[in-house]
Amino acid sequence: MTDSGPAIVVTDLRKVYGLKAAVDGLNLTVPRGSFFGFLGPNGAGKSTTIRMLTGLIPPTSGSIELLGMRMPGDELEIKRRIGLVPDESMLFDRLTGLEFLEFVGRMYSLERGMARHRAEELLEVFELSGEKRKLISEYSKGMRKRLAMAASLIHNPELFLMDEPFEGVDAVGARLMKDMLLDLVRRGATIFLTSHVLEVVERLCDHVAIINQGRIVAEGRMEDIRAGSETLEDVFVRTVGADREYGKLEWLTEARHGI
Amino acid sequence: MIAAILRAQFLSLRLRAGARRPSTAFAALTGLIYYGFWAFFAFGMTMLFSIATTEANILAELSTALLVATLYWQLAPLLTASFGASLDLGKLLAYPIPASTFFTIEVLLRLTTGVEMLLVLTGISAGLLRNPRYGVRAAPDVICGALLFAAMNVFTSAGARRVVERWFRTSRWKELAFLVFIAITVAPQILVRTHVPKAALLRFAPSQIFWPWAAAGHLMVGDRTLVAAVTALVWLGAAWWFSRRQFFHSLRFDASEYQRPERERRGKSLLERVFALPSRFLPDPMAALAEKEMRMLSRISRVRVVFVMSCVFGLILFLPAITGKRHAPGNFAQNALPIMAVYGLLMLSQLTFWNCFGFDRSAVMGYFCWPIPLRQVFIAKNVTVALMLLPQIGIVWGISALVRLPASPGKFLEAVVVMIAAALYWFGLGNIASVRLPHALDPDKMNQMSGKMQALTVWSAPLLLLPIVLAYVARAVFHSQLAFVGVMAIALALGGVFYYVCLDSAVQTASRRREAILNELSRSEGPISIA
Repeated sequence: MTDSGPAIVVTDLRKVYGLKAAVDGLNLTVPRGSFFGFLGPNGAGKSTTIRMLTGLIPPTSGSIELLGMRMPGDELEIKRRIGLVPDESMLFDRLTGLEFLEFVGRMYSLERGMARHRAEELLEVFELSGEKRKLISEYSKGMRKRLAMAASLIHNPELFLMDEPFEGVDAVGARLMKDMLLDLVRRGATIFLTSHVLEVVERLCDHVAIINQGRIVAEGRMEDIRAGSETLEDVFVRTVGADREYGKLEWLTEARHGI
Repeated sequence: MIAAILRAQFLSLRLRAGARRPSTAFAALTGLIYYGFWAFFAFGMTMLFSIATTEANILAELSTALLVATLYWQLAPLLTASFGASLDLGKLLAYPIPASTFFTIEVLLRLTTGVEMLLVLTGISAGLLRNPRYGVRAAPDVICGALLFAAMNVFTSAGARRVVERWFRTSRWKELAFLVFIAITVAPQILVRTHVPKAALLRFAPSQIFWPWAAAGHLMVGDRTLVAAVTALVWLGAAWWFSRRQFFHSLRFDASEYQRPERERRGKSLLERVFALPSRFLPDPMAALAEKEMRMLSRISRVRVVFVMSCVFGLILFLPAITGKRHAPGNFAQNALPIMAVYGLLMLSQLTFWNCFGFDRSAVMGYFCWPIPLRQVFIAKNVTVALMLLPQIGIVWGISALVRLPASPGKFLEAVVVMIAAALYWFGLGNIASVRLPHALDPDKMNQMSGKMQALTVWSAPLLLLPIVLAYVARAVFHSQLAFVGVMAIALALGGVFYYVCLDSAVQTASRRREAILNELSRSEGPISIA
């Protein structure tokens, strides 16, 4: 394993379900220390890609290297060094926030005392201290996302894989999370995230890749991707969906009586 | 609209049923055998009621049969803590569907919990029609009475389900109340054993016409038809009113209003010390996993109820057989403690080792993402259930001592050893079942075990318990405790090997099928929740 190479290297990655390729020959390199945005329309293959990177699902073909180590051969060591915020909840509803964080800390081989201490601190930072003894089942969607992010940090990983981390989070919580992520990148961590909120990606990320129908259609540094005065949204729509036609729903657009 | 809801339900089940045909066929075969048994029993009822005898005898037998059918229909779901199919109102309330339509579907779904009794009722009706005293000319009375009886029970069952479900989600005393429900089932025996005068019992005997089952019985045989019909209709009306009222109350019910405020725990409570026990003799991450499992299971009402039932249900079921012969305890009484301990383990099975990821649901992906060997996850879950069983055996032992069953310290030790042996075999197979047949469990719902799980439980129990049974056979045949110990030691050793092999298989299967497991545990049900 090397500490100077790219954080993520994906070579010719494919995932086929029946006759459909959800990911179709993906090639991707994520530099270490970068804030990497992975964008795509619905059903493009973003979540499938992240699930393959984390080892949740095996690829049909292709190779994955994280932090210089191959998946699945060095799976256990890789998992020790990455933090994950999945799209779907990885939380145990019948534990309190504090219990869950302490539990996750111990999953990453932290001693009980240290896990508890870090859990308390993380809850403080993510403004969940007031809810630390409430069961997670009583948390709102935004609180659950913040807790999931706190859990991804407890073992101080080098690489973060985040699938829609800001979904359902209010502006205050999102600001908190963004500031934290920027700080992590400044200290040398690598962040790989997917998001539908292009303004956030544009503000935070220094590298971006756009996936459509299982393939990368654009990739590079943020300033290189945006040509001239184009926004990221302009680039995104142009590369994936500008010429999409939609049917005219006459029954929906008809003027109502009296209006 | 009803057709649309039922079609949506059918489509949502279609893929699940077809996914693994061999196990579906296996479950279907078990279902066939189960309902075949009830069909055979119904045939027996047909023969019984075909016998030409006095009307008084027929009425007495009919009233008793209908009373037992009523008790089974209403109490069996409570005793098994499972209520079968029901409407998932949370998914349907947003649509402009009249509440009366929901109610109609709900009532129809209640028929799914009464299939056995409908078979028995059909058998009884067929018997009366074959009886020379009544014959085919009595068909209108028989059919009318049977339909009224079925309708009364269906409505009562629908109402009772909603009451229990709401109360289950809000009451602090649900475990205690379930004990009361269970105790009701042995009330007749208690009445007899406490020598209540017969005359007093007969005044409220099941054949008195004011009881709903007796009214239906009198109607079926054409005795005092007008009084019977009016009484049955009044009871039917009451049952309909009860079920409709409870159903509409459920539409407005919001469980979150009854959530307990958070409690600030000061210092180390007793429960916290219990949760921390695994850390004393297990290393992390296994200790952390076991601790997490204990916390979670202790906070799920459904698990607590089943745990309490596992402690006392065996005793209640077997008590009459055990205390029947007072002078010298027979074989059954001598071995009651190990039998009840194993029965308790069986009761916990569907919520723990047969489907060990059920309550984790989508959080199970953590086991595949965290740097922990899967093997340790299974072992931690199994250890947790084993730790739960120790107090269970202790409680059963204590109650057994109170009712003067054979309950020496030696018997306690024997029960623990038998429990460990049974657990090795059941946990082994359970770990494989958990990765082959995972399904999400809603902690707030009291649903039925899936057909495949039921099949697995039924078919595996005799086979897996065989080594333990052989130990008792050895003791009985050779009249030697040494023979028992020797065979039990072999059973334990074989159990250890079996557990190890199954664990290996489960870990490999989980790695290979992780995507399917995640999908199954994240699956949401159709508009009707079943399991």
